[in-house]
Amino acid sequence: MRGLAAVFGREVSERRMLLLVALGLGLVPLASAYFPGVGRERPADVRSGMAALLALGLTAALALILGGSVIARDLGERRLGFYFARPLGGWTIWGGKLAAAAALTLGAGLLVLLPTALLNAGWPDPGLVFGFSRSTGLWTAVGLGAAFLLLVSHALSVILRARSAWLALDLAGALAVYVLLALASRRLAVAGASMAWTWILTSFAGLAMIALLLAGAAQVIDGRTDPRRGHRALSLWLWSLLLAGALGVQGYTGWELAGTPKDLDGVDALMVVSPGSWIAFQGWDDRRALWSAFLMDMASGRHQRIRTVWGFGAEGITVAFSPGEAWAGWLEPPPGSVKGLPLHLLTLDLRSPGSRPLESPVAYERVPETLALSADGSRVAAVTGGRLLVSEVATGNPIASVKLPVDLEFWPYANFLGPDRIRLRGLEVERVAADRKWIWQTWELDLADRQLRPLGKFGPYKRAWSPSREKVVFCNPDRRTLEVLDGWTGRMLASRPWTVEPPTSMALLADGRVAVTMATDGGTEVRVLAPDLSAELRRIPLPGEKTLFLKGQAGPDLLVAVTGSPSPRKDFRTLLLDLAAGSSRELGRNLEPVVSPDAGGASSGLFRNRSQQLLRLDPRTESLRVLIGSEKRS
Amino acid sequence: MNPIALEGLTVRYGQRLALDQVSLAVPEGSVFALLGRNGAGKSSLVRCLLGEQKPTAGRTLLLGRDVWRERAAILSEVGVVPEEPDAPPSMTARRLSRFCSRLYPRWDAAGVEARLKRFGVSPDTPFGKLSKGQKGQVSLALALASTPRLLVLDDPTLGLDAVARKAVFEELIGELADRGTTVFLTTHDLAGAERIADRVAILNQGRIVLEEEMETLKQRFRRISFPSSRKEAVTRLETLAPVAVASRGWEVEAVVSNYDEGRLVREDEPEVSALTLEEIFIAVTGVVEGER
Repeated sequence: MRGLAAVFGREVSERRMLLLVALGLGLVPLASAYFPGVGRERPADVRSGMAALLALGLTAALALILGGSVIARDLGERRLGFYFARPLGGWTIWGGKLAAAAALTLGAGLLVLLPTALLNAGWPDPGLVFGFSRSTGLWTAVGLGAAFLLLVSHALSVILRARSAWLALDLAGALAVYVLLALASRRLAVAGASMAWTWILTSFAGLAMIALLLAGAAQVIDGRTDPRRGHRALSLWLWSLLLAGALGVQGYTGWELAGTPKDLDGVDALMVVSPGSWIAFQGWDDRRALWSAFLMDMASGRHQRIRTVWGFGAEGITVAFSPGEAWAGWLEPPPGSVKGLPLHLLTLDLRSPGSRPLESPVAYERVPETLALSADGSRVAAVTGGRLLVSEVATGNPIASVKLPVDLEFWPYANFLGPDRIRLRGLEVERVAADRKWIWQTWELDLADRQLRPLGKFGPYKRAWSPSREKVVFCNPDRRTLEVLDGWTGRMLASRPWTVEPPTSMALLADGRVAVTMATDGGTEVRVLAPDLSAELRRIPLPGEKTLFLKGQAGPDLLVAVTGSPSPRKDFRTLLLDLAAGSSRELGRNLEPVVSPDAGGASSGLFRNRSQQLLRLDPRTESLRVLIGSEKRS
Repeated sequence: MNPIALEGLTVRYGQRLALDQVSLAVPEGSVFALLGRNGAGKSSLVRCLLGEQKPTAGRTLLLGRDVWRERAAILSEVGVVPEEPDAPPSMTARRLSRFCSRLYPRWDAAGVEARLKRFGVSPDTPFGKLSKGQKGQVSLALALASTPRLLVLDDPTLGLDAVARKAVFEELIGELADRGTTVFLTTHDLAGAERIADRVAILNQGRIVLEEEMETLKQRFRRISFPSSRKEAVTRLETLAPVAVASRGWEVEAVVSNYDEGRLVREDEPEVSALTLEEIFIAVTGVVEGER
């Protein structure tokens, strides 16, 4: 320690004038109030900002100058032998000199701040320089940054002064590290793993700091007074560590992106549930600190990672399944883009288990309100910017761009009837005087003449869509009737008046039967009606259940219901109603039935519990099994 | 234990061999002079000796320990005067002395002041402002202040005038008389080395070509002149191991490295004279192949 202190003291003493200069510079902000153009600002803020700016500038400059000279200049001028001819270890020489450079760099910065700190009774805020709000950790970051700059400057200075052939290794090493990091960055950006990338960058910066420290030490300890041997030691240590780190980053990236739905801790957003067995969802992988979105076939377990549009949540993820579920199409933001636009279309052949996503030239400048694929996956339709756009998937060529006569504010839904016919439905607000009236509007576009023809207009009542979304059951308060309509034309298919009170909840089953809940004395009753509403087929009394909401069909004769609105704060029970037997049983507590957002209540037989696990009901055994998620989240 | 022992020391810079299997031992209390022409490998040898450079092969034992591994510990008992004085230019001799005093177990600060006074060097002048000779004198004063067991002097009189050279050697002689310190010296000042060295080695093209006691060396080498042709002279002097034979008109002048009066043919009344160290050095290292 005596040697270290001696070297440290000698280096500081030799450059002590720097500290005096820093103290002199620190007095400048005290006169800042008299500078032209600063009259309107608070004097304390002006002083603080100027002191912070001067301190940052001086610290950065000294880090570069001292880092590049404290050892490398002695080495270049063959003066390092003075220390090596003394009983001083390599660590002592390196440590003493580098510690002195660091102390001078940071000490000079502090001395610039000191007069202002004394006058303002507080340390100047570096956030004022960068336009941040007050940030206490920023000076620590500045200190670490200065230390990093010092080490980089030292390494560069040694490399340049040695003028040895090891420069080729430096260039090759730097290129290899850059390429490996850029590849990892791109792969992570493509996957939207920004948190992982931030973690990797932070860790790699830490590793780079350690590598620079060790390489600098090796240069002095092993190279001693020989610049070329020192350069060799520095380069070997530096690039070995950085390359190992960069390869580690590659390995970590591979692991990060190798997550499957099984690795998710839970499902946070279930975006789309197809009429068949495919779902699209997003969940949190705690081990990887990664939000991951997947398309998954619940039947086979086949899955495909998809990228989400950051910040849009479930509604921002646009996934479409073609009629017959031969194809899936979805939109992904460009990799690494901050804006996240334009969104590019990708399609996947769901019939071939080994198929890979196909990138299409089709792109959208904003998130479409709905997306539809033709049955053969060759055409895509989207509602965006008040227009219905139809394009060729393979070429990206536009086929039609038709302006919609009204704004579809909610639940727009498009569907290919055939390769040339597209149907569109959405909820529009009609303003009549001070009132607002919600109306379902439907159109059909014929690509032969590119004409958008209105099909129907109906609503705006409490409703439940059929699982195929072709029919809807309405509770019409004006006529006091329960009505089954064609979901596109609005043509009434069946009607039935209610007697005392309207149904509190409805479900339209796949076979056309209609289930409603009716309030009774001291409870609720579920009534199952024939498809033409002419006859009541079954009554299931549920005494004691004051509120009950039907949540769609989970099997041919199974209906799901909840006792209250599912909410994270309120307890509720989920019931399974057996329409064949006329019985009911509790499926679980706080088990939220999952419905596809635009399906208007059609159940998928999927449930999510408070641990965000996704569970699936086996309609045969009426048992639940965990599809995705672990128990650890609550 | 020999304070210095080199074992098969080899230094290679790419294709060039700077030191080739150099082995030598410096006995305790001796003054060992290593001589060699420029580029002979002296600087590489000294760097290896001080643990500043790792040899390609072989090892250097200083005071019985591997200097590459234990340099810092060993150097607390070694004084060093470098070829190029390399102290920080802004430091005065006094501050250098103060700095060094914190590094060595023993430090004779008064001795430094006294020596500088003898040399006529101001202790308060920054090192960078001293003349080359003064820098060397400061380096010597600092090297002696730790009362080292071993003193390594790397061409300490390089570039010094005659007066400064004399001062350095006188100081050394005084030091040796006082303490009996082992001295390893490389120098081009052969006259100076001849005054103080008791053992000498010559390094030529990376190899030790000669190493022995100074007295033995000087007895072994002689200059012999007699009238003869060069070819005949080489034959006649064969048993005396001639290292250089040159024709001078009717006469031949030869330097032999294995002089033995008994084996010398007396019929031509040869003229035999002793050689200085410089003459021996030139004969050994400066021989042009055609003159042999």
